[in-house]
Amino acid sequence: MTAVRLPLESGRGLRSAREVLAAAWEWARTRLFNSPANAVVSLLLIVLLAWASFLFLRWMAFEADWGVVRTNRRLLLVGRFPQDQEWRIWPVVYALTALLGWTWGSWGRVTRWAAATMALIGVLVLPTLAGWGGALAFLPAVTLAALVHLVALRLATRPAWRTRVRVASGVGWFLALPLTLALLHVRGGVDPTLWGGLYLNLVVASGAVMGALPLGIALALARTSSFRALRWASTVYVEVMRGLPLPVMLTLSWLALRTFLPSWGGLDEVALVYRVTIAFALFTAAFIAEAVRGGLNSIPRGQREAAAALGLQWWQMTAYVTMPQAIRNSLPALAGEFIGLFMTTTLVAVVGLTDMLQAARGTTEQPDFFGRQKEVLLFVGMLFWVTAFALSRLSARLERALAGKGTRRA
Amino acid sequence: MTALPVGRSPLASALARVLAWTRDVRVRRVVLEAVTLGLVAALVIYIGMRAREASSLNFDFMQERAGFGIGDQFLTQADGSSTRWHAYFAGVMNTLRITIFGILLSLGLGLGIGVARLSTNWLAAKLAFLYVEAIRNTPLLVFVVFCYTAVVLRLPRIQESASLFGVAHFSNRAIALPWPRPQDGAGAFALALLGGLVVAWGVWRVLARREVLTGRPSYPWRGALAVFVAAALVAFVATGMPLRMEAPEVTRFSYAAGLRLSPEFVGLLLALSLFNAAFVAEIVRGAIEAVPRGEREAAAALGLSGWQQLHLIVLPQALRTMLPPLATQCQNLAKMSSVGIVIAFPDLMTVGGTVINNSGEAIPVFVLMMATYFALNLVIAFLLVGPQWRFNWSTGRRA
Amino acid sequence: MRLGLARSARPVGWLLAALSIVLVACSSSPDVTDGAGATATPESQIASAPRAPEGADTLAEVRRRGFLRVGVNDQLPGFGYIRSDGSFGGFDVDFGHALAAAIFGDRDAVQFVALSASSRFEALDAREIDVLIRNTTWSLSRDTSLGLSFAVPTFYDGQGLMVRARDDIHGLDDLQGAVVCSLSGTTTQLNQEDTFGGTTVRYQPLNFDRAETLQEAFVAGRCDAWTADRSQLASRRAAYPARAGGPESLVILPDTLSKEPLAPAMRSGEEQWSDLVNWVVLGMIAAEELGVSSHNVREMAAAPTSAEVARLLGAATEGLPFDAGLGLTPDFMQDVIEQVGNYGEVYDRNITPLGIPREGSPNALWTQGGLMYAPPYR
Repeated sequence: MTAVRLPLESGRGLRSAREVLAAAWEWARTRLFNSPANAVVSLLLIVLLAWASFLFLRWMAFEADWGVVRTNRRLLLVGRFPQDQEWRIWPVVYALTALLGWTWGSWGRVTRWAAATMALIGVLVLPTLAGWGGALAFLPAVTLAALVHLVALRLATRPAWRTRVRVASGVGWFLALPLTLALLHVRGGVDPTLWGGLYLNLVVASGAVMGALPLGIALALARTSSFRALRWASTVYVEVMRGLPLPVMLTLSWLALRTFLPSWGGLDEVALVYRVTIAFALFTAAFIAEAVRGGLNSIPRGQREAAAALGLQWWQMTAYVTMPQAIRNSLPALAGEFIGLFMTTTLVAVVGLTDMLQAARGTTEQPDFFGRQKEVLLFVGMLFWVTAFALSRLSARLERALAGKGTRRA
Repeated sequence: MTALPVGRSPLASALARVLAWTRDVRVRRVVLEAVTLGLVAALVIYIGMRAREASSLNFDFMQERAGFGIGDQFLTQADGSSTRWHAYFAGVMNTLRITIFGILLSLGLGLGIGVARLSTNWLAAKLAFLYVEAIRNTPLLVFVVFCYTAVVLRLPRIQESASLFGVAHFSNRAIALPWPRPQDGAGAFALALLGGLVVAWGVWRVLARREVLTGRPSYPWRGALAVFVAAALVAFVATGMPLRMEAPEVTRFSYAAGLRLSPEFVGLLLALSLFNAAFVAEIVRGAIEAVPRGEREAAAALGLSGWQQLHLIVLPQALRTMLPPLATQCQNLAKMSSVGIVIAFPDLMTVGGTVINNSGEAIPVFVLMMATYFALNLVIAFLLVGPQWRFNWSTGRRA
Repeated sequence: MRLGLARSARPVGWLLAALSIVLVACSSSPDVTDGAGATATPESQIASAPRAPEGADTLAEVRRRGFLRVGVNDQLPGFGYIRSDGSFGGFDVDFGHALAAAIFGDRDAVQFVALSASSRFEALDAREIDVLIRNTTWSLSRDTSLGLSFAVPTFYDGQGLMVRARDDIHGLDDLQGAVVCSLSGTTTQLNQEDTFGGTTVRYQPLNFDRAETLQEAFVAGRCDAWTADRSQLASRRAAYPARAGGPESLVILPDTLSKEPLAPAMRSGEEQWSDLVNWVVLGMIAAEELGVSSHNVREMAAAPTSAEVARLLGAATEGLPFDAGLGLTPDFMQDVIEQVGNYGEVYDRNITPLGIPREGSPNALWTQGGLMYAPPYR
């Protein structure tokens, strides 16, 4: 990758200006001007890039007003969640950041790049956007995450502990949602219609994942099963779901899920947030089923035959032989589905819930911040971006770590 | 198992036979199949009955007067006095329009970005990577709202309409472009074009056959194109030049004549195609990387240029791998176009929602919308994966 | 290969079959029209949601829950909007508070659910909310085919058009070819088509799902005219940002496109609940007429100036207090007036700042030439 290193990086100290220049030119020549066509393209791109950055920087410096984000940060993060009930949210924030640190630590070290990006966001971007108070509120959580990260990293270096540390991270993630929901409901609870902002996006997304994963795996098994009825039913389900636009599905769930649910035990009286989460889960399950089916199909036939030869029952074969490999093979696809799910939770707006994006759109109604849609949308986009990007990096790391394990096909 | 010892009581032997029967794998299969089928059928029937209970699924209300106008229409002319069917159809045509142009744009853009990611130009590769990462981790809805309110609505007002050499005009009322308007004889010209297409196809077939049979290069594509262009030119002159370019004019509130694209359409198209291009780029990149490196090296050893390597060796093979995911991506685009509702684009979701609101008939309209999206998906799958079948035919079965 | 093709096409065939079954089922579903009802007025039209169970008791449900759920607007300054601390405020919102005060004696025993124009009736039908007070127009078809029942109008409105002053538009005739923007799923959309349908004016409709998107588009110059209820236009105009020219840059045209009586809506078939909502609103109007306000309600209750005031406030002057039979405590209006105010107070608090004058409008009391008239409390 780096055939020519800049003298600055080589650790031999600064050379003369001419040498630096020569090295820089060498770097540019091999990467940007290695053919006439490339030279033209590079020049064009440089001009475009310069122009775009100029416009952006000018806007940032002279036009943008981040007061809209600072004033409304509470609305954006938790919506109209009652202020005196915030103790229900902070433990989750701590748990999640700590879990993130732990997971990252147990699957590898935070790269210099990632650390630098996070520090930049923490020190520069967050205070600008959310005010020092807003940023400082998260400082303990971030410190905890960093500490937990180091502990996990240290533990994971011991081979005997590595697996345990990793299993713990997985268990932690599965316990996160029940913890969140429990905190939202104990001691009187907070009415679901008051959940909002980014918190709503997270709750809906994680709830949907928890529902969709088992359902998706079941559908994938049904679709690869030798029972015709199961196969067909699963195929029809998956294809129907994949053929429907999510907004239609959501509105349908809002209007009709109540109609189709039996009234036993007040099942048809569940809160809208839960119904929407069910809709998301039903929808995502179809995509997860396809991902897992892809993983199942990639397992060589010989393994099944070997399992059968060993006298394993179907469920034993599935649980010990095929499914672990299928999940591992489909991990990139699964991660993609989850990240996509998190982002599509913005569509809850269709049924009138106020998630982060809707809260953001609402702020431009406040007379002080009229026409500040660009700032607030940029902030919302960036928050989504950071979360999704971190998740995608994490999944890539997970994938690499798992790739070393187990049997791989030649 | 079937050989029963002699001398048992008839009852015991019957019991043994039944027991043996339950252990028979084939019987178990049939029973289990029947049970699963029954369960599935019961579920379907339950849902169907609940749906019937809630709605009569009668579509008569769609024949009533719509009562609302649709500003931006594509080949339809529904207004307040049209039926709801007509209004719905106008919505469908708008969805079709955004889907078709969105697919074309995002395929072109995505192909470019996907190739750029593998480019030897460092800057191009990095920028393409940045683009893909930036888009893929942002929700589409944020993007759509941004493209509309922060990009398209920032175009000049109609009073300060900007123009490009006096032929094309831009404002946040519309983007108006010159467009050929059919004159007398356009029908004949269209027929002639169709004929030209058929002839060109024939030429392509003959030349392609010759190439396969004789091994001599016969340039079927170039031949067909030449025949088609020649036929089109001759027909155009012979029918009395039935198309006249028409430049748009600025009027008080909008533009007259020419092709006028509404800001909602442009904003949604921009957002959808820029968004989808990132996904298409990833598919393209994956497919190109899946072509064994050796193929390219062999082509290079044969003296093929970079472009020749790409379009003769790499892309045809990559195309085969990328078509199924591309088809899915295009279906996604069609479905995603339903977010147009947030920026007032009157697609079928928007119109359907208005009809529900005016009539109160939620379930029938939903059934209609679902059926429409399904049909759209099937058509896309057929158009894009259809060629896949042909590819397999021509290249034979893959190992 | 042929086999492979057939195999991969199978799900498609399956889907087609399923689809056609669904379609056939739809088209062949016997549409039950008995001879008597020739012109179909379809019964209970938000077909998807279950009808209210026989004798559904919303009041009991609300009491059990411990608070009221009211569907409101969150985007209409003056009528229903979210303050930056996350609470709701506005004219419609105050009536929600009044109902809570009437039922629980506590104006805050209410939860507001922000609803879009296109989702409000479904929310009501799906029992997400108990009552809808969201600048909703009372109309015949909503009363009948949407299965709603309306209380007395809280605000008499009419649809108008707002244009930019410098655009030189003075009436409907000047709108030939203009872009007229409105919110989708509202009667506005239907009225504008009715109004323009009778003329030769050809305009371009543009319908938005959210008011702030519409405002962005209007400010950017995407629309020439903005049509909505006059009250909404006035509130929009009053809050029109100085950066975009301020209120003076806009003109509301004199033309009125429709009558828009805005009223609270309930599910039909719940008599007692409808009566309750209705008489709380009427009580606030009566209170203004009788001179009862939040400042003097306690004194008036202690020493009613007339028998009517005594009945309104449920004051026990001679013998038992007057029980309205609404299933509430007799003195429920005392809580309402004390905690929320009478109709005039609510109007002054919310609507007057928007610059919508009350004198001479239908929203004045009947004694002052308006339409606000409460039947006798007896």
